[in-house]
Amino acid sequence: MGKIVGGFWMPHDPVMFVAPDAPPLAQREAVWAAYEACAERLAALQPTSVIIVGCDHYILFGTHCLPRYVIGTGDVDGPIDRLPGLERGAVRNHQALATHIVEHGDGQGVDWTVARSFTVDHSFSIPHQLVVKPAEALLGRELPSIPVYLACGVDPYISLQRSADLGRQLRAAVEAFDADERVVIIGSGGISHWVGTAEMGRVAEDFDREILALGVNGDLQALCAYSDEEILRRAGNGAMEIRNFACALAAIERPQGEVIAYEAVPAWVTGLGFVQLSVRAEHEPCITLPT
Amino acid sequence: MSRNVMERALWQLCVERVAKERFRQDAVGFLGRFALEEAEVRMIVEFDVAGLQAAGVNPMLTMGFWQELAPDRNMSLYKQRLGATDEHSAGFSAALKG
Repeated sequence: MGKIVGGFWMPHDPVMFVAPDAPPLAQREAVWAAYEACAERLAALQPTSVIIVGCDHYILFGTHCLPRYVIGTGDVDGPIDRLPGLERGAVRNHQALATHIVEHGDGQGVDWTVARSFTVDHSFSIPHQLVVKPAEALLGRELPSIPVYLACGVDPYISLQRSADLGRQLRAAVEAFDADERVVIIGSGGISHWVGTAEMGRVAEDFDREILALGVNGDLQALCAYSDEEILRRAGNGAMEIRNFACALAAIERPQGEVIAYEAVPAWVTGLGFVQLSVRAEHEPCITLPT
Repeated sequence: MSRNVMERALWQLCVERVAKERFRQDAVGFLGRFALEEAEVRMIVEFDVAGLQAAGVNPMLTMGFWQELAPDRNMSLYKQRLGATDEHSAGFSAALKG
């Protein structure tokens, strides 16, 4: 059977590209180094494919159609939003695995919305271009990448519980796929950030560190216990992206995490956290960090 | 107030080139195709982002609309129009040199 061999949480902050020199030097170097570290760690997992869980920012989908969750099963390109330093182009998808995930979901009560052609936005392209492509260079081979998009930015939002359900279904589908498939899942999202509101530029480090600790502890239940009201009040509308974290965490069997880096960057309007998720050995004790 | 119709109009203005061009030429005329009330048209034409958000419009759309079409696309001004405090404006204003 196939296996999800690991995962990551990482941000997709477009302001990094628009105003690269805005934060202090040490802080911006730490963020770029974190992406490099993620790429090296991704390559070390010897993956054969990647699933990137992102979200629309009211660009791809309008009021006429707002899918709670969607998977790209065919042609993929992007990003649709042009950012200096991000190339727009075709992305190699793993069409067979993506189609299998949809078919598997049909029998599991998970009725994926399907995009047979899909132009992604920066929430896919930043992890893809800063982590997956460098990992491909290290490995000397392509890593087909499947886009999964959850409704984090535009209501009606997908619930945290449903996001976790999807992560579990992704894992079950991969395990029902070809034996030699080694999949890494990336939950793409900032932690605290206020997008387009009066508070934009505020970062809530206490909330961010709470979320990071849940990743380290692999505490999916606590992650899914946040109400939308609490997230919006404490960490802003952008923090609804922790749904992507819940999906990735649920896709890992017996998850645990390691914080690679965290920077609170008001100049980039976001709390930027990088976590590597792994499978805890069956008899390995769970180390619990205070939240 | 019709949040759905306002978001429909603003989404088009954020992503569709033809809609942006028509709005620049004749904003009220462009908005005439939507079932908007007079006050809603005024909020859009006047870039009243605070009013739009108070009516429930998604902040991603008000920001995108401002960045695409406001006469002065300065983000500090955008935040001022939303009533941002100096504390909230400091870091982000530096980022966008605005």
